[in-house]
Amino acid sequence: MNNKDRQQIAHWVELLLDDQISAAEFEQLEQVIANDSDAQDLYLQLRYLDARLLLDGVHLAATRPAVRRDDKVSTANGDTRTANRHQTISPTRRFIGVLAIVAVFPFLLVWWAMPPRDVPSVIIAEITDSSDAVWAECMLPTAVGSQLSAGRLKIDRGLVTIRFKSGAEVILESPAELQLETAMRGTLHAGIAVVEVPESAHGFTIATPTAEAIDHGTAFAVIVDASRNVSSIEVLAGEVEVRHAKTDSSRRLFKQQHLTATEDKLLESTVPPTDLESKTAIRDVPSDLSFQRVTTAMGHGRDATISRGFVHGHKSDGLVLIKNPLEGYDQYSRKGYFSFDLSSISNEQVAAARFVLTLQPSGLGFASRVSDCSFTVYGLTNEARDDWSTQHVDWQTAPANLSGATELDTNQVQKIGRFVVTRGQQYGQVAVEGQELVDFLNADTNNSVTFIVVRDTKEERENGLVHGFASRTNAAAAPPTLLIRAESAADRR
Amino acid sequence: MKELNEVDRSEEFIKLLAEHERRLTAYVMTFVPRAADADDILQETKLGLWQSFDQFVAGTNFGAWARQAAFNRILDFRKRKGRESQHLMFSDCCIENLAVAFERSEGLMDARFGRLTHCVAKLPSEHRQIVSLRYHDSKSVDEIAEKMSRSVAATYRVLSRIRLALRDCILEIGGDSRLQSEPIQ
Repeated sequence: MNNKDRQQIAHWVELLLDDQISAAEFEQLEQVIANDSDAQDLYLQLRYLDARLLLDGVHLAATRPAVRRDDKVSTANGDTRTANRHQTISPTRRFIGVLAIVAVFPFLLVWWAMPPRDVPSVIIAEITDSSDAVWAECMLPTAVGSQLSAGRLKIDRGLVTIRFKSGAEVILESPAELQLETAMRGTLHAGIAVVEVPESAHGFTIATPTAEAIDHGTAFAVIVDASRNVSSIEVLAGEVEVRHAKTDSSRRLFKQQHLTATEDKLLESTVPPTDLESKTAIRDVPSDLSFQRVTTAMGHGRDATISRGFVHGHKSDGLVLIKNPLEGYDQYSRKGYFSFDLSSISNEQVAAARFVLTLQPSGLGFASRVSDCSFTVYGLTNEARDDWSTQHVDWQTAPANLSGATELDTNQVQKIGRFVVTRGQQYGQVAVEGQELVDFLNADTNNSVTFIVVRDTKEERENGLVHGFASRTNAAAAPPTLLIRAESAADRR
Repeated sequence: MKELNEVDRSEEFIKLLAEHERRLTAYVMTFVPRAADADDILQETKLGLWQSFDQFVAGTNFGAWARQAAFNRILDFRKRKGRESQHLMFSDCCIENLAVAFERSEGLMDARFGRLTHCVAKLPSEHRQIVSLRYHDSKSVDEIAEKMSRSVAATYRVLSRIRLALRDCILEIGGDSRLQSEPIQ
């Protein structure tokens, strides 16, 4: 099949999808795909792609340019064909609601009889932190910074912080499964969620298979033991109302009180059930809730790649590229520069911090041709050079830069930490944290900090991978991020 | 499955259906252009799958079993609605060939669709905006044409080109347009 044939089939598919294909064109299409297996494959792939794009609308939110979300679907001539295609993509979402319930047949019948709802494409939450998270199959994007509409998140390892639009923050501890329903409500199907609710979100509710916890102030933890169909709710601060799912009985709990909701009733106790007790150690976690997030896309933040030599075509929009090339090919050396505007952190003392980068495929070189790669993160101590600009920064003018791929002027930088990207890893997040980072941030006097990242591991074979990290302009992945917990914020507890 | 009690059986069914829900929905939508019809067929299919879940052999391919059930309902639906429908329909022979072709490439397609978001992100900004208008904001082609200051015919053409580019990117046909190796050093 030549390119013209491909384009013709694609054009017919487009008209067919929009119900605009003529009878003659349809007949031609049928003739083409009747006996040609390549044409059949192409037709099916284009149709399947359309279906997936319709179903995955939420994923596209992370890649879309700024477009208003609240536009109503209507046309001057009353043509609603496209709208109709979208209005019925609800079975997936309808289905997920059922997962909250221990499956029994009558429920299934009720669910299937439910009328379709509009696609809930409204953004209701954002992933604000993801510590060493390994995700299971999710309906929603999982990168830090992802905007989330209603859907399900499942985490196999690590911690994830989700901030609902209402202001409520939920930390999920793995393994856990959370259904995001509205800006004011979610359902925890399994695992542990620690919830902190500001005044703006009083009434925020976390439902479980056996109960729902309605916040009346500050913070609480919910644990769902899915295997036993038991939930435990503990108030960390303030007041929470717990309603039993089956009996509709309810209790009000105050700080350090907790209860257990079995399938049949609410059990008040002063001591958690033995096998849930250890899990309530999660109470240590809420300090993470007070992390503030600063990215290179905020304020005067910046990021840039500097290359030792000009390499035609070897640029990548939306990425900061870092490479330590093979001996003798120094022109391919690249370092990453990242600047954060700390003015939003004010003058508080930093108690804990984490510098996070999101790996992305650069499309340059081959991952299989590099081994595990170690990177060092430096902080620029010469604050006079914090004012570098993305337009003008280059190998010659970049602050503290020296000619070697890993070389920096040690009088102008201090070592902050190291991270390793394993062989073949082109997605996920890497982070540096620790006292060096905290000290460096506390030493800042001009509300601007610059980090320089170099790859210590030198390439040993040609055509090795250039490591790519999402920059502040990346359309899909989270930008370079600093998570900072200030002392005074921690003291609130 | 017969040794499982009712609740276990329901749980197993829910679990399997949850795993395959999105793919099954996409499958039906691939064969049935109108979403309202696809929705009806899906509802019937799921109910049918539950009612015949006793016949499903644990450990075998639930996806293929569910697609077969869905395809039977698609054929029923075509028979039921065919004569009264104003819409153009492929012949039974053609649609059956397509179902066979789908099974032939299902594994490939499904494994590759994880790349969809990545491929959309790589589109030029204007094309990304068109995809977003079409699939996120549910705009009609007429509306997209107006917003992008193009003719309707040109909008259909650009949509078809975008779709081909996405398909090629997902299947990595003709290479990833941005994939370049470093020159031989």
